[in-house]
Amino acid sequence: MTWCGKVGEISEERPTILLLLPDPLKDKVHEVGIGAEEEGVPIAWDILDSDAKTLAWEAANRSRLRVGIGISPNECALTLANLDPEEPLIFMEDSSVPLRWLGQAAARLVKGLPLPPTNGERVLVEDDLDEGKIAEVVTRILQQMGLT
Amino acid sequence: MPTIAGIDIGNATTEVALARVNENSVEFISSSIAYTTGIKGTLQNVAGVRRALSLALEKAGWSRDDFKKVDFICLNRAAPVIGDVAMETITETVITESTMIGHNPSTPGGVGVGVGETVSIFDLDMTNPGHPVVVVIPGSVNFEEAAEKINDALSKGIDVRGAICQSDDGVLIVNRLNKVIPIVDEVKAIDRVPLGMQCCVEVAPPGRSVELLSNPYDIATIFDLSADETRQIVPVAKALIGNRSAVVIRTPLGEVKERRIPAGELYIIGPTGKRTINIDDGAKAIMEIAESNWPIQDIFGQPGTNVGGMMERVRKTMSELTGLPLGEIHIKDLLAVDTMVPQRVVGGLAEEFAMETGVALAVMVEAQELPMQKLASAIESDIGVKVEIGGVEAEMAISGALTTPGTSTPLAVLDLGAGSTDASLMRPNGQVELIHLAGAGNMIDTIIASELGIDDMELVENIKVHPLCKVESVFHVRLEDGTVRFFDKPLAPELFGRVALMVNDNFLSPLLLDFSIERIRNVRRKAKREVFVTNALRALKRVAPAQNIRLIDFVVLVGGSALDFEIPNMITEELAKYSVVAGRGNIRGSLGPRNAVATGLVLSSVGRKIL
Repeated sequence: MTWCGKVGEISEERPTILLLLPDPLKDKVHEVGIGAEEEGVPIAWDILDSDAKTLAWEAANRSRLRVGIGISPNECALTLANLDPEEPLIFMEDSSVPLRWLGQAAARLVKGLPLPPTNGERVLVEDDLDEGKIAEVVTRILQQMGLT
Repeated sequence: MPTIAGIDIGNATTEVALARVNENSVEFISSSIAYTTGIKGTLQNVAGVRRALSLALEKAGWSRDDFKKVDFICLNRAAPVIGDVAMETITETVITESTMIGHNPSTPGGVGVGVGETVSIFDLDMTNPGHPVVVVIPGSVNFEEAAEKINDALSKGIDVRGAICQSDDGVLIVNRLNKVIPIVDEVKAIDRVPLGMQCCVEVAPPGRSVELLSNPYDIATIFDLSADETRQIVPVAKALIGNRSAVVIRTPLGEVKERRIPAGELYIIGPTGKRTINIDDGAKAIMEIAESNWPIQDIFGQPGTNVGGMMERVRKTMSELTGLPLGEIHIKDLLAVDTMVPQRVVGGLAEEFAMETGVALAVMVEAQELPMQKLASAIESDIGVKVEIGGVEAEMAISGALTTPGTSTPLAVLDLGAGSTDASLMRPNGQVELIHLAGAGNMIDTIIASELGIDDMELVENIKVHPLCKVESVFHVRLEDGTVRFFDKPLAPELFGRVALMVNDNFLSPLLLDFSIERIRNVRRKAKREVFVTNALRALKRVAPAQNIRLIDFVVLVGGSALDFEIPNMITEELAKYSVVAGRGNIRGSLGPRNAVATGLVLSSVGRKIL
């Protein structure tokens, strides 16, 4: 069963979250899809060129689940069809936003569950830190404290 | 006409009633309330008194520091009573040698039961075909690699029955497999899962909890256990009840133990001598001993234990306060309440919690008298107004409470405070009975904090005083009584799907707790009932004629905790069984349950020559 596919690839009968993004960002679809898949909600995507807010709102209005995601090169947004187009539920101007988190948040919105913690993705990364990275963090904090 | 200020310094708040008093008439001008500064009866209270009086002056339309408008201050003779609360956990669950994983990842993968030997995903291709295995997947392997490796193994005929996974990838892996297996994910301490051991993974369908691994006989069947071994596995089964996913691993020495922590003994000295009771015996046993030894002369805790420490701490605070030697300070009452405390399982692999039993204790010390005269002089020199110490707190409370419309003697006043629950009763002939009991608002905080596992006392206080709701969409919430409220502005994303506190009509505060709305509500209501309903009955029984609550006609609830949105109803309901009229007071017909003592102080000065 596909959990993430271009509009038309997923059977019409299945309600999906919709993700809209410009063509050059197509490779980001996969990460967002994984987040929604872990929560068990299918996601469809399509190409459209605009800013993240507009994309998200347009996507939400096309989605049968009324939840849409918009991604532009420097921004991303998550919104519901019944919200003000200018004020999406979640809007981030940070291009380093964990895309998997965005997909997960959209799916949890559909299921009526609290949004996942924003640092959820980073927990495992922290566990995998090697000694060099730990030393780096320690040095930085010591410098901030003015101890070196 | 002289202007009089009645000032009541309580454990938590300082209240003022300002009035013009004549020989036979009183005209109340204003009332106010401020936080008590320091412990009541100490010189630190002066700041709070100043603030409360300023507020009253301001409300009367005068300038805030125009203390000269007041001719005379009447101060309450505060009861020399302070309370303290503590929590004792008396059981502890310990896992040795990593024998089980019982947590609730929000999205475990697959469904069903899988039994096999634990094997690392890196060694999977070296396993003999036909030998059932459970794969252990560390976070460094991503879900695509993991799924690929397992599919490879399956195609070679290796019998993969289940998996244990460190990251939140259970569903993703299962979706990519050619065969559905149960996967328990989000197991933080994956490196401590023993390899090469017989293991059972169970994932229940949504809405169900594990059936096999929560039944000792099924565990015995799976691992081929003897009768003795089955007896030892019971704590494992018990710990896994209610989980949606679980893992049990059979190791040669591993076991799960429920240990009782020695919490210490209490020595209760009553009219018939000294009685000893173990805290481990629970609240019911402790309260039975306490009741049968009434009136309690003193209580000690076993030296070197937490209880012992707590008893000495209250004694010491009171001793410093009154300047009396420790030997003359006696603990006069105690209230114990059983609690269930979520505690992290020692040795757990996935940050499991187990519900442990605990006992919350409140004690109350009484001294001969507080140094009120010193405080009175300090206020006099600070504010420049003559201060007199008024009558006994209980009499003042009753005469204040009698200003509630619809009351008459014999009337009992239940003062639901922060540190103690006090009851006073006035007979038709004017005679007054008074009792102070341990356990009040602060004890409710302690119980809520420990049952929900919260350290932040401000949050606990908020949970205590605000009703709950569940945010169901960005535009509506369902309140704890089932009614729905619509908002015309979208709610913040942090609130979505969460249980939140209705702080006021337009402000919701999300609770970042992993409990359902019902659970939080039950904890809150149970704490309130076990402290205040229990204490209302205990207190009224002590002051009632012939210890019979039915002989009291009216009970008026006053004090800070009487402002609560549900405590007065709980007490009204309970006392209705004794055909007693009980309800929240309404001092002077307008002030609610506040200001009873301050009002009483003003009233008592009527007709007295005071200037």
